[in-house]
Amino acid sequence: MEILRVVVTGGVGAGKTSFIRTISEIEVVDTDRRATDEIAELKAKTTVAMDFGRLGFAPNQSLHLYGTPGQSRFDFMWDILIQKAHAYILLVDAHRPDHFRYGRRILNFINQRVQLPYLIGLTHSDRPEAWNAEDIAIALGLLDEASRPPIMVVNATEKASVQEALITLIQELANYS
Amino acid sequence: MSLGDFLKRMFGGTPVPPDENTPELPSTIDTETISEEKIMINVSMLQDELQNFVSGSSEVQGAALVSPDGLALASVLPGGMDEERTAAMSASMLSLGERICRELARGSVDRIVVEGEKGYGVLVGCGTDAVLMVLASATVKQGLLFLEIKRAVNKIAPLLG
Repeated sequence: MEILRVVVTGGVGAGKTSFIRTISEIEVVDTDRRATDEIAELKAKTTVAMDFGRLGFAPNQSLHLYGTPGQSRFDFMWDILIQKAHAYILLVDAHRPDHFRYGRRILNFINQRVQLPYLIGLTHSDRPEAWNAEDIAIALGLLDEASRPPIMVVNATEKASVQEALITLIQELANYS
Repeated sequence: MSLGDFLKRMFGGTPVPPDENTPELPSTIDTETISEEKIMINVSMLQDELQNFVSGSSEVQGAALVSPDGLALASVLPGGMDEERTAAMSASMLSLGERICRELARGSVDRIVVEGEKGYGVLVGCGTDAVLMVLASATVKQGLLFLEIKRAVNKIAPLLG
């Protein structure tokens, strides 16, 4: 049995838990707790340890999806989860520019520790105030187009869209090694 | 006012119109300030209660009260330990522990104990809105520690309202 471990990370409210819930074949192991700070205005519950979902994509091959908490006070969880991962997805909320810097911080945190193939998923792109991919890439500090990871629009609540993102990531992983 | 009037006023009878020099009671009480004050008192009482708990036993080295989403409410921690990080870790641990208990059919969580070479880290729920994390030295008697934690929880939980 070959297991591919993929970490789904990103800022608060980017759609990490939704992403895993949408695609997982098993009931997602979540650790949601009621938010008690300013995040409560955005959503009622927030992940405090991790989310776990599984997806079989070929006989004898399965994908394990680990979702991280969004807040930086949980950065020890980012570290624990990323150490064993094969690839990761950074979800960025495209309509909240104030969160781009935060995405950049997560990116730096991970890339300082491990070198992994990754993908950037832009969520909430259907909002009128959403930024386009090129501008977000620059905001995330990915200036060099040649070394840039794939950047794609992801609808975390739509199965086809999540599948597409995972397929792209697996292709990226295959090219990488 | 005659004594008769006074008694009448005290023990029923016909209401006497207020004297002109009787101060009038405010018709509405500002509940907002009162509830704010209550929270203020609770925070310092929480901190006091936690401080009492930690200083009450030489084996208890620190304690933190945190919200279920990992924000510190009050803490008495050994030097060099970051409050924010400790709070987040406590919430992650308890939440994961609760999930393990449920997934593996162990019922509800009484406590989570991390036993290290240098001592214990114990996590217990404290009412529905808080988690108590206690650090104790390796020499502590476990039964005593758990008893003390239980007592502390009984004191702290009512303060959270």
